[in-house]
Order: sequence, then structure tokens, then C-alpha cells
Amino acid sequence: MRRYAIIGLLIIPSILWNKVIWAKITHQIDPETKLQSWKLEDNGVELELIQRLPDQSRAFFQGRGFSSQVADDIGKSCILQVIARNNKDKNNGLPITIQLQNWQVKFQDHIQGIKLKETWDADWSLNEVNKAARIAFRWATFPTEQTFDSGGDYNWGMISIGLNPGDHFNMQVNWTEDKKQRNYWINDMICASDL
Amino acid sequence: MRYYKLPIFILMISFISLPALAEESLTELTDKPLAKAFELMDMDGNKVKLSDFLGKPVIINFWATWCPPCRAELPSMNRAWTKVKDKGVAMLAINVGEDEETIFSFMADYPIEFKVLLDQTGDIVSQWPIKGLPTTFVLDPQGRLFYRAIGGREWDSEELIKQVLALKK
Repeated sequence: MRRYAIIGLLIIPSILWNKVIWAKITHQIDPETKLQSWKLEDNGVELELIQRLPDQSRAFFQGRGFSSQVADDIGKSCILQVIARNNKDKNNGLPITIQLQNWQVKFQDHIQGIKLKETWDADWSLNEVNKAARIAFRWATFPTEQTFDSGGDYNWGMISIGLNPGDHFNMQVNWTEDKKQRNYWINDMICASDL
Repeated sequence: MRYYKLPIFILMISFISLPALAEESLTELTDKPLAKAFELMDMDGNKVKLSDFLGKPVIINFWATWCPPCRAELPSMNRAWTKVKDKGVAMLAINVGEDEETIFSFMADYPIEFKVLLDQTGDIVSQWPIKGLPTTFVLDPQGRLFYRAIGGREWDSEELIKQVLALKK
């Protein structure tokens, strides 16, 4: 009897470890570009957030028809490249849904949402940003809501944190899986500044 | 003492076991709606209609030159094209929002031997169930959306080609 009790006591926490606690956040600094990235891995779901220099984003959007003023506004709004991937097993894994409107940013003592692509689009007058530029912005930014099936669905796209270069912040990212929202805080993040 | 060996073994296995990771695959759509019809220009200025390809499986990839995963998967699509082009399968790459000149320059570095179509206004991509680039659909010979891949894939893998060719039956 005592033997089974010991087995049980050891198995239960190990199952919990695999099913619940197995979430890993790693922070890296690219040795060449010095850009920082944060990668969250949890049971086959990967979410990576990579800094973009204001200059990088400015150049990208200027090259796609934005005026230098608007491209500068976007570039300085703390752009991160997001890569999301559902690597769960095709046959057993569940789809996940990311809704950016649920992500939160903690800056100083204030919690706010990120600046969604729809908000940007509504901010621009018709004369300020032409249709071609809007198309590029729509498809280069991460979808506000997207479902990723298991078996390798993934997407890349930019998100705008809405802070200034050099600002430090914490960020809550989340996704929905089997009607349950999984939340994770990534701490000590920083908006990239031009070198 | 030996009573402790089994639980310790189980514990070790359990701690080191990682979640089962996926082989890259295509998602079969449950409802399989008819694909939205389109007529677009190709790189040579010819009009191409989706209905031109009825009767064969069609791989339709939505992409842009600035999109990193699109660039990553295009060489494998090109290799896949060499494997399926004589087997009654069509393949189309619909570029979103860019002009011929941009695509032409891009193709110097990333050769694409299958048909590239231009959706410069983004009207077609907006009518299809697409949230991000790249997204690829495989249509069955009846023109229904049968498989979907969100994000890039290794299109020349045996498994994916097998899935596409099986639609011919």
C-alpha cells in the first residue's frame, strides 16, 4: 500500500509539471543586431516577440507608400515582430486562438491594451495614407484575431505596443485553447531605440 | 530499496517527456466551401480565372515579397511544382498588393516557375478566409476549399504532395 502511495505522490506532480507548469520564457539578445527577443513555449505553442528598431519599421513602411511623417509615427510606437506557432500534434492537439485585444501592457503603474491595426487605420485620413499603403499595413501587421490549427500553423506580423523608444514594460500575452484562456506575463521588456 | 526504483524511473521519464510536436501538415476544412471566383492578371498581362482550373486540384498561395515566411516557403513550392506539374495539379501564387516591377525583381532571387497572379488592390485576398500571409489553400477538382495551411510549409515533402495528389481520386 505504501508503495502505491509513493508512486502516486510522485506521478501526480510530474503530470502537473507536464500539463500545467511546462511553460518556458527565454530572453535573448542577438549578438550582431543587439535586438532583444522573448520566446514563450508552452505544450507545443510557441510565441516569440522580437524588437524592431524604429528605423527598421520606418524604412519598411516608407518603402510601401507611407509618408515619412506617418512611417515615423509607426516606427516610434514600439513595434515588435510577433511569431506564433501551433506545433501541437495534428491528431491530438487543439487549435489555439490569439486575440490581440486581450493582450495587456503594464507601463509604470498603468495597464493598457496594445494599439491595434484597426485603431491605426481609423487614425489616418484618406489623404494621409493611400490604399496601397493601407493594404501593406494590414498584411504586415499581426491579425487582431487568428486561429492556429495544430500541425504547424504559424504566422508572423508586427504589433504596436504604443510606447516610446527606450520605455520598459511588462506584457501579458494570451491565447484561448479549448475555451480556456492561457495568460502569461513577460516581464522586463523594453522598446528598441535607434542605435 | 528497490521499491523506489519504479517511481523514480516514472518520474524521470515524465519530467523529460516533451509535448508531442507536429509533423507539418495541411488542415482539412470541415465545411469545404466553394472557393470565391476571381479573375486576375498574371505577370505576362494575361487574364486568369479560377474556373480555368476546374477538374484538377489547385494549390493557391497568397503571399508578398516582404513577408519572411513567404520567402522561406517559395523555394519548396517551386520544387513541389516540378514534382506535380505533370500530374494534373495546378499551382498559383497570388501576390497581395505589389506591382509587377517589385515582383519581377524579387523573382531574380527567388525563381517561381508556376503562375504568379497580381491582386494589387487586395480585393481578392479580402474575399477569401485569410487573416495573414502566407496562407495556402488546396482546392479539390470541384473547386472547393479542401485543405488550408496558415504559415509556410515544406511543400515538396512527400506527405504534403501525397495529400494533394490524393484529391485527384
